[in-house]
Amino acid sequence: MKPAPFSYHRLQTVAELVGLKARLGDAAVILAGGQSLVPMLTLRLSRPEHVIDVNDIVEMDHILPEQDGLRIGALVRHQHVAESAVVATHLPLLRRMAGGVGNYAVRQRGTIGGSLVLADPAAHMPLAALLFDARLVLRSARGVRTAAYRDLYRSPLNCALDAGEVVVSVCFPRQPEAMRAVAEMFHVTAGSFPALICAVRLVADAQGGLAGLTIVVAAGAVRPPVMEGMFDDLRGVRPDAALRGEVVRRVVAHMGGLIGQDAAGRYLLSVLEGRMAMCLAGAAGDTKEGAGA
Amino acid sequence: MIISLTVNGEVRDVAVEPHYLLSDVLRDRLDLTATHVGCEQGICGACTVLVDGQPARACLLFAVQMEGHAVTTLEGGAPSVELRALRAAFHTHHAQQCGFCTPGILMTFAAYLRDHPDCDEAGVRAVLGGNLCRCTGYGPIVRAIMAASAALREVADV
Ligand SMILES: Cc1cc2nc3c(=O)[nH]c(=O)nc-3n(C[C@H](O)[C@H](O)[C@H](O)COP(=O)(O)OP(=O)(O)OC[C@H]3O[C@@H](n4cnc5c(N)ncnc54)[C@H](O)[C@@H]3O)c2cc1C
Ligand code: FES
Ligand code: FES
Repeated sequence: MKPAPFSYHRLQTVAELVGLKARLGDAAVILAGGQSLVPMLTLRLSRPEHVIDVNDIVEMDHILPEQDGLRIGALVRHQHVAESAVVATHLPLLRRMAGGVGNYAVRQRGTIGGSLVLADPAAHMPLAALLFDARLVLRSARGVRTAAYRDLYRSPLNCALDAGEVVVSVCFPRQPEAMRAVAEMFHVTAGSFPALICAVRLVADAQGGLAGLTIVVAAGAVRPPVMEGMFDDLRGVRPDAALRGEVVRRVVAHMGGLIGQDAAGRYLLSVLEGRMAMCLAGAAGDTKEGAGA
Repeated sequence: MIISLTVNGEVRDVAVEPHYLLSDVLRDRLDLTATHVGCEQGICGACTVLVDGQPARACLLFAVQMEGHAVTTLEGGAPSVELRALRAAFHTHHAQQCGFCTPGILMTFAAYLRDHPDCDEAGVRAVLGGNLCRCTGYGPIVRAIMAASAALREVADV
């Protein structure tokens, strides 16, 4: 199949973009990297009257370290994040996640903003944004607001922007010194979405005990859950092998309830069990077992 | 609408509709049929061309988007040193059978070898994951790319 006809608009500024979005409403879709939108148009899963090309909007293409974290423009390509020295310094795991997206050609065009708005349940950048509690800077004709991606990402393929809103940038909060983040990806076929991603963010206290633990898992077609509160009772405990085993058990049990226990689900859970243990060992600094990141 | 496309260094004016894919315009309007079309969903890599020097799926771009950008296809008039090295190595190592996947692989690695002169086999295999080949089993392709990379390093050392 081929895309259905549409009117094409190529804009240069965010001000023009929010103006046109306000005028055209739902009849218009934004074209960023096109790595997900164009297949949807070609399969005619989407037939917009208007397509707004944002690839020239340079004010959405920057990576800036700021006081409270790292700001990444919505139009920044995955490959740019994957090769950015600034990202490597501030959030090495984010860099690794961007480098895992799809394949080399897809990464040259696909953007962080497009990925986060699409909210594919198997995708890398949404998972990283959930793990680090990233905020999106959103603009519309009504003004600017900031919203937590965890709140916007309601369900698979549903990032709940308000009418006429566009993503201008993404802010990843500054991390404490004693933070370690590790992820594992499991692919069935190379060059495309992984079947499973699990990621751990561990903050240690001065005595080496747990001060904070966040785990996000992308598996099955569910919105990746952010597992955090369910480890509150483990605060202060050293992340030794016994504790890590307990965490793995809780995570596998939680995911089992979400993705089901058919043959495919059971297989994914068995992979999760092994990868989760590797992530936790890496985050706890146990390099004998850990993959590190 | 009429757009001006810069393809292989030449400016070509061509009548298109906004919903025409770059892959179709290259093949059907400009007779540049080295760009192959397999899946039209970004997966197979057969349609990979260079946009401003970097690999991109021609099936995931609209031709209108390319005004102001430089598109390079395998037909490119003055092939880069990387492309020439790859072609020679593909020949030596029998890295193609039906040849359907070959243009996309050559374009991808012409850019990759340029940007990663010290690449290793693991890196090459990871990038090749973005190009499907139904014939060769990939072994000869990996060997050819590694040989091209080594040949380019030798040239660079002289
Ligand atoms: C073969 C293949 C393999 C892939 N594998 C992976 C993978 O392993 N992991 C992964 O994470 N992704 C993968 N992807 C998807 C890729 O990461 C895309 O880049 C991403 O999903 C969408 O980004 P985009 O810039 O291409 O957005 P587009 O396709 O242009 O747009 C996606 C959606 O976001 C909206 N949008 C875009 N920008 C904005 C904005 N600034 N404000 C508001 N709305 C906006 C669009 O209107 C559209 O609805 C793959 C894609 C392909 C083709
Ligand atoms: S035809 Fe474009 S990637 Fe398959
Ligand atoms: S040589 Fe036939 S698909 Fe690769």
